[in-house]
Parts: sequence; C-alpha cells; structure tokens
Amino acid sequence: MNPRVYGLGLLTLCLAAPRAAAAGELSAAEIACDALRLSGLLERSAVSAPQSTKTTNLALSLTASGDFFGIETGGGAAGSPDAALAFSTNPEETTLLRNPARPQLFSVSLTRNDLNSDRVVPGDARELHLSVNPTLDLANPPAGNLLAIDNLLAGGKSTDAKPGRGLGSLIVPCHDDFSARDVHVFRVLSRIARIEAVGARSVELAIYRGPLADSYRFDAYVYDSVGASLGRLSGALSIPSQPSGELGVASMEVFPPCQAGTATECSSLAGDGAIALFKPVVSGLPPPTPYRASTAGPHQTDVDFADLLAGTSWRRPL
Amino acid sequence: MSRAAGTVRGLLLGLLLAPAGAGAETFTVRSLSNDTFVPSNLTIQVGDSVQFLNQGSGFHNVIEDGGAFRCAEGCDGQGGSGDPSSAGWSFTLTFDTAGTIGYYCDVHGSPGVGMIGKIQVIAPDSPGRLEFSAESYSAAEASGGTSIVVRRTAGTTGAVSVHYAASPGTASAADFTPTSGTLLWADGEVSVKTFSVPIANDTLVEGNETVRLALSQPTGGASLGRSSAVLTLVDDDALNSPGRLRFRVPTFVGAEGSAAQIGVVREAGAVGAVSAGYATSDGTAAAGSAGSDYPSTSGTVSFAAGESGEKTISIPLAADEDVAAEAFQIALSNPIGGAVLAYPSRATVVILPSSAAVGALTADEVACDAERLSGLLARGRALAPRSSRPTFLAASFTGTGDFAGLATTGLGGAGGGGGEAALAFSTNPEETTLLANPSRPQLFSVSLARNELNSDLVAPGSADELRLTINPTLDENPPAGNLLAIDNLAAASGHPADAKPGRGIAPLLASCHGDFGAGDVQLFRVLPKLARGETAGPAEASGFELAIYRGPEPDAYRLDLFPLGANGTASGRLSVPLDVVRSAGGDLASGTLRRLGPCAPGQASGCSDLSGLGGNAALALWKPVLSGTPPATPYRISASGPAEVAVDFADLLAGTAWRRPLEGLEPGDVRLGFNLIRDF
Repeated sequence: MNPRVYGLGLLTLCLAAPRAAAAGELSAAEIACDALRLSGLLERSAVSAPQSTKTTNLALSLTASGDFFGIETGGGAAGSPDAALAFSTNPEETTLLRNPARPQLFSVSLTRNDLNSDRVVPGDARELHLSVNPTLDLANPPAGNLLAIDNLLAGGKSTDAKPGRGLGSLIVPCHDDFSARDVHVFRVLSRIARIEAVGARSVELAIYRGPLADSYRFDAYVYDSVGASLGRLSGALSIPSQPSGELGVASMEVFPPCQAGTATECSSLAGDGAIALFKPVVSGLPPPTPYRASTAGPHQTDVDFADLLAGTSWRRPL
Repeated sequence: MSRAAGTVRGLLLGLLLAPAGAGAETFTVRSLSNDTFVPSNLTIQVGDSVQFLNQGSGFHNVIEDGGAFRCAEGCDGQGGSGDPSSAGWSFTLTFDTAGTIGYYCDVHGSPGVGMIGKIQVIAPDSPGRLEFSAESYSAAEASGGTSIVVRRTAGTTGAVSVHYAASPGTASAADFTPTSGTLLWADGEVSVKTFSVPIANDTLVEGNETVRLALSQPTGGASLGRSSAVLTLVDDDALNSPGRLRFRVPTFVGAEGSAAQIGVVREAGAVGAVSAGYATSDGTAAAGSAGSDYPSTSGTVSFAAGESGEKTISIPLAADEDVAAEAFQIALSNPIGGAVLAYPSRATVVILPSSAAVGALTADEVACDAERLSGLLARGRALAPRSSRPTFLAASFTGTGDFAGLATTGLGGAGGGGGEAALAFSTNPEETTLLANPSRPQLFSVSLARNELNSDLVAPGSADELRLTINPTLDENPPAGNLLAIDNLAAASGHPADAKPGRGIAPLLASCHGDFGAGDVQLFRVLPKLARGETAGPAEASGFELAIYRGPEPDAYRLDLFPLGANGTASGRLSVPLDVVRSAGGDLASGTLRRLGPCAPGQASGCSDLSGLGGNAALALWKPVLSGTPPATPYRISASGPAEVAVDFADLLAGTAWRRPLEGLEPGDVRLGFNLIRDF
C-alpha cells in the first residue's frame, strides 16, 4: 500500500469531500469589500515602462481563493503590440526569522507568471516594471522595502518577498472562493479590456464580481503624464452563459457621472472615457473594431462573446 | 532525439528534405529553459542551414510567423510533428532565398512577442539594411539637443545612403528644431552614423512631448529596417510653479485599532511654501467622545519652498465591537501660497472591522486536506546534492489554502555538524493560462516561489545547496524541463520562482473549506521549523516528508511523517495528532503528541502505516536555537515508544517570538460584514 494514499483515492475523495463553496450571489457589502481590496492594492502599486512612451495598463483581479492576480501591459513603440507582465501575490502571513527571538513579521510575496508574461532583454522598449508598497509608510517607503518584479530575461527579478504590515488588511478575502467561471472572466477581461480617456498616461483597472453570478464590475483609475488622477471610470458587465457553458451575449455599460453626494455606481472621470473590449489577435495582425461603451455615448452596448472570442480557446472556463 | 531536415525557400514554400549545399555553413539555434531562442537574431547567407535544438529545456516548438513551417519533433507535413515538446529534439532547415524569417514558440510566444527569433538570410553581395538603433529615444529639455543613431547591418557591399528627418509629434517647432539630411556609408563601411536634433529649453510646464523620427529613400540597393522612432522631450519645468495639492487616492482604508494614513500630495511645482487646510466629517462612522469611531480631526498640511511629494495625516481608528465597515470623509480646503486643489480634494476613509476565525472542520474536510498534502508530497522532491544528510520536506497551507512549506538539508555538510539550510516555498495556482496566441488551448498552471525571508541563500557549490521540484504533469516520469523547480542559490544562476503548465496537479489546488485561522497558520509555520524525522538501525531513511494539517477541532493538528526509502519514495507513515492548549493571552501553552496505532488490513486512515521504514520512525520537535548553540533534547514520539508525549510549549519555544500568532489582521481573522458604504 502506498502510505501516502488514504484508501479512498485522491480524486474520489477530493470530489466527494465538501469543498469551499464557490461564491454565488454576493451581497453589496462583499462587492464593496472586493472593490476596496483591489483599489487598496492599486494605490500601493506602481508600474513603469521606462523605454516606452505608451500608456501603461495595470489590470488587477483575484484568484479563486482571493489572492491578487494582475497583468501589466504596455511598452514598445506607439502602435506596437503591448508586452505583458502577469503576476500574483501570495500572502505568507507570518515570517519566522532565523533568529527565533526576533519578532514575527507580516510578509507578502509577489511572483511573475512566466507563462503569461513577455520577457525581454534589458533596454528593450517592452521592458516593464511593477512595484508594490507593503509597508505602513505610504508616503516615502525606502525603495528597498518595496516588492518589485520585472519582465527582464537577464538580471531580471521574477519574485520578491518583503515584510510589511501595510498589506495586512488587504490580503484577507471577503467571501468564499470564486467560481471557475469568475476566474476565467477575470483573466479574459484582464487581457482584452482597455480604458480610453483623454490625457490618460497610465490606467489602473480593478475587475471584480457583481451581485449576480454572471455580473461583473470594473473601476478604472486614470492618471495623466505627471501621475495626477483624472478620476475613476466605473461600469458593469452582465455576461450570461450559453447552455454549452460558453460565454454568451453580454451587456456592458459605463456608469454615469457622479452627482453631488453619490460615489457608488457612478464615474468621476474629469473628461469623457470609454471601456473597449478588443478581439484577441495574434501579434502583428491589425486589431478589429472593439466593443466599446463610453461616457460620451453609447453608455451601454451588447457584447457578443462568440464574435469577440471567435477563433480562440477562451470562450469557456478550462 | 528526433531529427529532421528541410529546406525553406523564401517564406512560403513547403519543407523539402534535403542536405545543405556544398560550402554552406550550418548554424545552431537553441531553445532554452528561460523561454528564449539563442541566438535570437541570426544572419546567414543563402544556402546556409540552421539546426534548431531543444535539449529538454521546456515545452517548445518553432513556428514561422506566417506558418511556412511548424517544427519540433520533425515538421508538420514532413512526417514529423510540430507540436510543442520538451523531449530532446532537433531539426535542420536550409534557407535558399534572401529575406527575413521570423519565428516563435507556440507556447511561449506569438509573432513578434515572447519567445521569438529572427533569421536574416542575405545574398552574398548584399548592401545591407539601414535602421534606427532603437524604437525610442529621450532627452531632457535642458540638454539642448541629442544625437540619434542609425546603423547598417546585414551587408556592407557598395556605397549606400539614407534620408533622415525629425518632425513634430506632440512637440511643436517651438520645442525643437525640425531637421533633415542624408547619411552616407562607403563601400565596406559598417560604422554607425548619427544626426543631431536641437532642443529648445523653455520654461513652460507642458509635460513630456514627442518628436517623430523617420528614415526614407535608401540608395545603393540597401533596404530599410526600423525606419521610424520616437524622441521624447522630457519636461523639466514643473518646479517653476507652486503646484497643486490633492489626496493621493479618493479612498483610504484602515483597520479598527490602527491608524488611517491619509496621503496629501504636492505635484507639478514646488515654488514657494504652500499649505491647505483639512477637516473630517462623519459618514457611517461617527466622531465624538464616548464610543466614537474616530476623533474629529482638522489642521493644516504644509510644504516648504522646493518641497514636493507626499505628507501623511494620521487619524487613529477606535477598536470597538462593530462588525460592519464604516466610513467618514476628509476634505482639503483653503490652499495658500499659490497652490491649487486638484482631484481628489475630498476622500473617504473606510474603517475595516474584525471578527472571529474559522472553527471546526468535518472529518471529510480533514481527510481532504490530508489528501491534498500527501498528493503534493508525492509529486515533490527535496534534493541536497552536496549533502549526505537526509533531506526534509514539510508541507502545509497558507491561510487561503494554497500550499506552503519548508525544505531543509538536514544537518548539512558531508561531514555532518553545522546547522541546517532552509528553502521555504509557497504555491500559487493561477488556474488558467491564456497563452499569447489565443487560438492555443488554455493550460492549467501553477507557480512555485521561494520565500526568501525564510530561506538560506547560498553560493553554487555550497554544501547547503537545496533544490525542490514538483511534478505538475499527468506523467509519472516527466522530462526534467516540465517540473516546477526552484533552489536556494543566491547567484544569478538561482531559480527563485517557476511556473509550468500541468493538469496533473489541478485536483490538488482547490481548497477543501474556508480559510484557516491565525492560530492554524501560526502552527503551520512553526511546526516545520521544529519537527524532524528520525530512523534508527540498519535501514536509514534517505529523507523525510511531513504533512501538517488541521484536525476537526480548533487547536487540533495532524502530522503525517513519511520516511523515504533509498529510491525516494515513501516507505511507511507515522501519523501523529497534536492537540494544543493556549493560555488566556493566546500563547501556545501545552500540547500532547499521540501516535496512531498500526493500520489494520484494509484500513488507510486514522492509523500509522508501520510497514517499511515506518516501523522504526520517530518524530521529534526540537527547540529552535541560534546556529552554533548546542541543541536541547527534543520532544520525541516514535513508532515503538510511548504512545503519548506531553509538550511544554513554554519550554519548547522559550526565548522565541513564536508562541502566539502575529498580532493584527490575518487571514481568517476578518470576515468583512460590510453594510453598503454610503460614500464608497
């Protein structure tokens, strides 16, 4: 008998055992909590493409268990394909230092996902850097205290772990695990969603679940060339599934401008902005016209995922 | 190793099996484990051949950008298969037409992106190619001007020339001097040429601007390579105005009992001293005296002349019994010194509550955790290639149910003595990998990362060198290149993280229940530091693996020790429940190690498998001491000794900071019971 096998067989047991329930409908509080976690990490994140003048994008969502997952895109010359730096966080909660008398430390690791990242040589126009501030010092943390990774092949950094209590309140999931469908939608939208706004030099995009099992939300934080905020573009998607499990015809909308006294389900962008879903194409092919919803109108548009993801393997969760 | 040979005529013809012509050369392009082709840019002459080689360094293949060939273990349509493969493969192509052939790996790239390469096939007497040295350049306004480099590659025959021009992009003719001209190369000349772009040093705060660079009209038969580029004029005038003030973000978050750190930013200028007032106002959170959520706060935030960046307003947040998040407002007002207020000048501060941790687990949930860990250990292997001591690999969980663990060298060094080295790790399932080529199938994938804060990093060749591999595939004997592999090497040759596709590990990734509590995570971190396996007698274990997981009740834990036989496979299992008792303050106080009895025929759980090395195995909990300090007698439970052993944690962890969970918010401590936050 294999002493590691407990008699029922791994697969049988894992399928039979009660699992963490996948999140179905979410309460308004849970949605707000997810949004807060994402915006909290985004405010602690900094992206750069030092060899490029293109707009950088940072799309952030969550893994099934509620850790952070994101993709930084940008780099290259204007009009050239984006490069990608995919990453995830892993809270290691407590670091017991080698000297056992030393205090325990909060720590978090940040790891590049090599399979989803485009790796380049130093100095390449598609060079991308990402840093996350895990400390309590939001104003001026020493550079050495930041979690920092990049997409460099030689001399690059694929993972980093640092102590820091600043992320303590952000690493805690807000509800049960996300479903495989949720995770799939997070991944696909991270790849194909781009924010268009006048004066945008960098965009941070939070993608999270809405109240229903097929509803999703996004908050895009837009910054100009000197890093000043241009406001937030928010919106929602409802993405029903076909009987086959494939993503069907969705409805996508951007929320209207915030009125005095309101800050939820509205956009605070200083000028007009839009969310565009681009058809994924192999690099080098001209991008087709995207599905677009804009504060300048139309505010709402239908998105046919059968068309949007035609020719891809992305129409259903793995 | 499979081999194939073919000929490529231009980009479009099919592959023909043929040897390279007489006098022609054969070059080699290797696919490496870091997902690159080396060399990635290769210039050859018509009639030369290229051997593509993968020596088991990952899932790779080679596809021409336009699909003219697709090869790995041979080529599609030529009796071979171009599907990605990590088996050692090679194939050779002969190129008999001048041109540029781009190619990529299907798994790790797409045309022009990722794992790619380019072959320039030139005629013997080519004049070459003229191009900018980079896609983009930058220069400060104050520099007065910059030089742009143009190069000649892939040929030197004959005299050639090219026309250049610098014209307005977002920059206007007031920002730089538009310029144009001709660059000349003599016959045989390969040196780079430059031209200058004069830049005006104005005092306007206008942000960075761009200049378009273009090459055109090549002569002498030369071709154009990168013929357009962008020059960025970096604005350095921002400090000529008083600037603007704003909150760093529109929403700040703080936990009950901590302090909210509110950032105020001065940007786009630092001339003179400036300031602005700030004041809080109630939202769902209320200020006041008794029972208040936060103190009503107002004041002035000031920046000195020449000072920019960020100042922090700290507001203490009361620790109360609230189970819902609450929020209040803070606003900037009355800017002084010429500064202006910018968005956001009003921010929301959200106070996060805390609540109870996860409690009891069902028997099925406990069994599910055990299966996940034993499954991972069956796929994992710790190696200490320069140590004769048994290796030790402990696996447990993070708060959210991913894997975390520790590998050690045992008492390192071939001669014994010395301390252990450690390689701490965690996994992060990324569930689905959408490859850069969207038509390729999705892949399960998982990443394995070194926790550097808990690992001992050593130089290559050290006796404390450690490696950890995990097999994520469905194959029991996969190629080495398909394994997740990290090590504790400090040099550039080290591997701190790895990510690989693999469906085999997918069933292990889903957590079995809700998040673990802070106390659980504490034990999951402390026990790998303390616990070690032992065997005695003529049959020594080559290593040990240990699974640490929760029992059904809070403060009940399970330790399954697997001694490894000479072939590295588990040879028995010593199962040891550990029940702990905490003090009123939360410190680990005492505990009991119990050995489960031998498994009856047909029984697989709730017992110890004392066949093989399990029959003489022992589990010891050692006092953590600084390196160089003599080890104290451990708390030990063995297959043949007493069935219960009492553990005094006050003694075991004396002098350490490990007796209680890390104070503050941790996974499982917080379940946010938000009411809708009005102003979020």
